[in-house]
Amino acid sequence: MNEQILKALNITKTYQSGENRLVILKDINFTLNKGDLVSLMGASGSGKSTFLNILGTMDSPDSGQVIIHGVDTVKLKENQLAEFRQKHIGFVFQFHYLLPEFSVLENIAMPLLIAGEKRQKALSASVELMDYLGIAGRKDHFPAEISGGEKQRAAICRALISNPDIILADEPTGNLDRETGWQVLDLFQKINREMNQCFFLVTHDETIAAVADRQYYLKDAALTHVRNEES
Amino acid sequence: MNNKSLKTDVWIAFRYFQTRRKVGMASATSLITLIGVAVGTMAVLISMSVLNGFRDVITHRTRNMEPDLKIHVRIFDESDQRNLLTDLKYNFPDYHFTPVLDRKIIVSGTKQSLMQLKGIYPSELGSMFKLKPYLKYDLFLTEDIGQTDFPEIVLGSGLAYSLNLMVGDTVTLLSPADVEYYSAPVMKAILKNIYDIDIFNYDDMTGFVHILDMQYFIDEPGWHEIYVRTTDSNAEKKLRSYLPDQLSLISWKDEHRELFAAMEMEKKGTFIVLNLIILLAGFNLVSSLIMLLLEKKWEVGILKSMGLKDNQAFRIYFILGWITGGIGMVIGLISSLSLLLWQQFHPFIRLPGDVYFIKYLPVAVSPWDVLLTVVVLILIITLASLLPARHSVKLKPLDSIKVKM
Repeated sequence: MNEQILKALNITKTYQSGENRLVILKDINFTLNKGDLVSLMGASGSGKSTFLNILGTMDSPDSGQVIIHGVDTVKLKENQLAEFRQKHIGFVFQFHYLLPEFSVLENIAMPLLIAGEKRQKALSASVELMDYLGIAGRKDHFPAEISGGEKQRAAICRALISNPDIILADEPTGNLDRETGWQVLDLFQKINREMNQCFFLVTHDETIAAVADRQYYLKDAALTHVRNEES
Repeated sequence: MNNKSLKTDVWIAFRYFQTRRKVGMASATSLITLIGVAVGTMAVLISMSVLNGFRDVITHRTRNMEPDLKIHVRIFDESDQRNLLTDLKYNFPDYHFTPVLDRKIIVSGTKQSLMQLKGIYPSELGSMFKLKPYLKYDLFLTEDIGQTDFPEIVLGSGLAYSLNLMVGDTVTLLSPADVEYYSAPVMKAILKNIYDIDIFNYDDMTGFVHILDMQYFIDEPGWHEIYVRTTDSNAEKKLRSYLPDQLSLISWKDEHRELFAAMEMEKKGTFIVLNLIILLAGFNLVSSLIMLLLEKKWEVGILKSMGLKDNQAFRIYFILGWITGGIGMVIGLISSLSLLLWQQFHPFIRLPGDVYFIKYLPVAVSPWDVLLTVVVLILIITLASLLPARHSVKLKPLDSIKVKM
């Protein structure tokens, strides 16, 4: 059995909407192991992005624990969380969110650079990763000069560069055409297979969710296990 | 502080600064801010230096007409005055002493005017008073009064022109302060020369005659003051301890304290008012950085999601503020100092001769003014950079990214 990386215990999240209190997540328990490729489906507004953000320490639950590598992240302070994210978590968003002022190579190296890594080392690690994902030829280009698929590949490289335990992807193909979207998903599978990288994928598209080994569905604040690849 | 991450913070801030020109309205406000700081710096330094320049010119010309020290000897009788002068010359051989007799009188040409008449030894016009460069003609008061039919007088240009007098004209001098038996002493004198030092107090108010003519005119055998010129900075202290207590001693600085205090006050006032320009540039800097921060809010969020700490976000925006303000400050300092030093040593900005008493704009760069301006700039740029930097700390990564969603 693979090493357990993340354990979410009794996660509850509510939002105040006027006089009503909306329960988005209720007593959710969840685990991620090394090498997992897990997807989460749900309708718009069902709370799947909120759940992803809580797992990624970008949001905090009203109650419950998110334990990553034995650390209860809910108890960490802002600066500790930033450092924790840098080491353990990579994000891929629906939009690439590459910084327009920096070249593709610099964007990818950014997590290492802000962590204080030597520039040369950070850049050569980034070039290696770009080569692996087939965009090395675009290293000196700026985000505005490359295609949508290339931007998303660059965003995946940026998420991978710190060698995180988990990559959290929120609708990573939502802004891409179907063919490019599938290319990105192929990449996820390739990285998952070859690097034993854990992915947690949030989508509303069943066909995309189907690439995962484990699939979950979020409805009425509860998480339902849909199927396992083996089952 | 991690030096490597500091390098990255500086790099990010510089990259933001370099690429701002491509990023919409923030670029324009950034450029305006930079220009604002530069112009503010130039305005302060140029104004201070011009005020210094005018002060130096006025000081120099006032010093030409005023001795370093004046000893009031009127309470002594004539023989005591002469003994004192002999003692002073003997005990302070490096100092230059000369007796002066002066009186406020009425001078008449085609019109009448009140003036200060000083009785001096003629050679003192060039030594004690240093008036030679300002005389219209190469003519001096005659040393030997026996060789002239009339007493001779030298008047300031303002006074001569207001009385419609030309060199060679006769003037009548009347001393109301010396009225005896309902009659004031009167003396006729020939206008020997006119000086033009371009300071109202002298050009419009002061004239010189031979001291012997003055003594005869007001019927006083002695002197009123002994004027002292010296390069000794301790002269006042030394003379004060040497002179009898009943004699008063006054320095030129004390005598013109109000004038120089007014000039100093004017300079301080100008400095404060002009620093408001820099303060305004500081406000521009705040608004420009806040605008940039709002444009880049999602980037702050993304950077924080990648591990950027709050203190790093603070540093990036603080450094960015300092780059904008600092470049403005350096441009302002370099351009104003280049301009000022060029004008100071190779004057090229001329002043209209019919309006001003000098040909070129006077300039004197004071290192203290430069230092003070730099300190004020540092303070304002630092305070202006702190506000957006502190705001960047408060941004939550998720809220910031949502702006872009």
